Amino acid sequence: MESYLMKGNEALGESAIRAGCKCFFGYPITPQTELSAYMAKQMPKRGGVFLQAESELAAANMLLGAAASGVRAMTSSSSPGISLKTEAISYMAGCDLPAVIVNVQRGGPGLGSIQPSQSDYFQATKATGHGDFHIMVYAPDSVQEMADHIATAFDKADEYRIPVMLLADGLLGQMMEPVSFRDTATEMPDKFSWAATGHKNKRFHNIVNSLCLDAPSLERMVRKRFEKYAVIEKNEQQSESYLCDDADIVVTAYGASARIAKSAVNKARERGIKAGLFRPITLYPFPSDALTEAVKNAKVILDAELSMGQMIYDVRLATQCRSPVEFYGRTGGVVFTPDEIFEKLSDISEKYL
Amino acid sequence: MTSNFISCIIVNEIRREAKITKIYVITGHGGVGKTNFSINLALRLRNEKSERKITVCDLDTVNPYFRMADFMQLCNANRIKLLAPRFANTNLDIPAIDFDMTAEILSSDVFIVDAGGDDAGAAVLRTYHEPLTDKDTEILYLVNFCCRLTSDANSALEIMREIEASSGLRHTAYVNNTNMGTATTVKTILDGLKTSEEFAKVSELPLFANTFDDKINADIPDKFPCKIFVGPVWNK
Repeated sequence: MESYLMKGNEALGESAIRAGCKCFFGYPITPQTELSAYMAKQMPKRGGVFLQAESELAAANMLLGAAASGVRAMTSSSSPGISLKTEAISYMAGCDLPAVIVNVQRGGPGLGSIQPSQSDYFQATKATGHGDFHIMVYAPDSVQEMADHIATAFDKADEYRIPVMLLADGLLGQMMEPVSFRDTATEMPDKFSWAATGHKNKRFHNIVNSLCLDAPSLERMVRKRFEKYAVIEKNEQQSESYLCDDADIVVTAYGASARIAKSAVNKARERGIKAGLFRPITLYPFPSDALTEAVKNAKVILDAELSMGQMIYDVRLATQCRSPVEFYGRTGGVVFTPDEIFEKLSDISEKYL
Repeated sequence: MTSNFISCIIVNEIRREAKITKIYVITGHGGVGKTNFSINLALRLRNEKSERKITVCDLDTVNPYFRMADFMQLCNANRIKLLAPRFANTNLDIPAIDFDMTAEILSSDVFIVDAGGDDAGAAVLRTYHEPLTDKDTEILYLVNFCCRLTSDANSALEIMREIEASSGLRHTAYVNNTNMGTATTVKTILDGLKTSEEFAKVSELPLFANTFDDKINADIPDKFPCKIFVGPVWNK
């Protein structure tokens, strides 16, 4: 397999095209613009459509339309732009549409900053729009995983007929790392039974719609969707455990934070502190089972995020507060260094061990 | 406009007569290593001659990440003047340049321009065509043959032509910066040399230097080992 040195945002674009993405609806915003730029140049050459919409709202609704017509499609933005797309994401969830949404996070709230952040965890995992629904969320921690998980995102979106988000951040989007692309072409599922592809006189016409005027039948639909979520929660949890088996302190971190935390864990090990790292790869479904296993010998957990603490609630819930959960975070676009996490690990080590 | 235009002409005349400023303009695909090369070039020129006035100009108006403006301390410590858009690295990172390029060039012995990536990043160079171009100006196209979009001679040439079309500048030489980031090996560098030779043919440009991480021991011609300054925090 050939490898290239690529920017995270470019790797997302390249991998999406290879995964069969036929339509990309973009709208520029720092720090994800290279993805749009890459698609603008590559899609027309490779049998796809790139469209720069007039707004994020339009882009997200174009995604809904493309997904409803059965093609693999994607949109991307950064935090404030994702807020604008959430209405359409809720509609897509209500229509059981497979679609991929990329969020290259920056500091918030509001227009915020243009530096990397992880303050959209709540939005991605708890409330990407109104209504009773979930979307799947993948959190890569390297350019390679940006490429791998965007391909997986398309597969899972089709498999479960669900919107899937790839939650990255400005640092991952902008940095250069080696990457190779999986060379096996995905088998495209047949969407004829539900998509608005033209009935060809072989079935009744399909309607893709989230409106349901009768309350009991809406309840039935939502309950059916939650049966699907139960399957996803059982089968799709993904995570990485690093040096957790004998760890006294387990750091929980995802995405770019996890890369920084890993450096800190290595330094702590060199200094005789038994630290480990647990990194959720899927944020929904949250990898509760593996986390429970990873912290079984830990005396304390340190949750590290580029936010004021959002994933920490899932960490506490998954571990049922059996061990104390400390927190270290920077926000607004400020990125912590490995040394900052190491200092915190040293402090915790003195306090608890 | 007119007075600015005339002053540009006058400055160019003065400079041509006196040959007082050596200008380097560094362009290339986004993420190819322009900023890292610009710093290394400035440091090397500083070490060669300690009294010369060196200016590096961050002309990246398209991307707020991994840019020259991040290296203010390093530049100060080496008496390198750093020019950057006033709002670089703030939440107001807008494409506004508030310094007088002509005057800054005139007051420097060496002037290095670290352009933004690709054709979009190079577009702003067109505005400064007059003060930047001179028969002695080196317009350097930095290329990494490990990048997906510049992985062979012809695609690297295509990106270079896009930059030329957008900037209005013609490159005078190219810099081969073939690398795989922290995964670079001697083999990566040697493989890059082969593509580099093909690129020299199709582009009809001379090679300025072969650059690579100075932690790698590669014995190749025209080598310019560089210290790696630009990268994520966990690599430092």
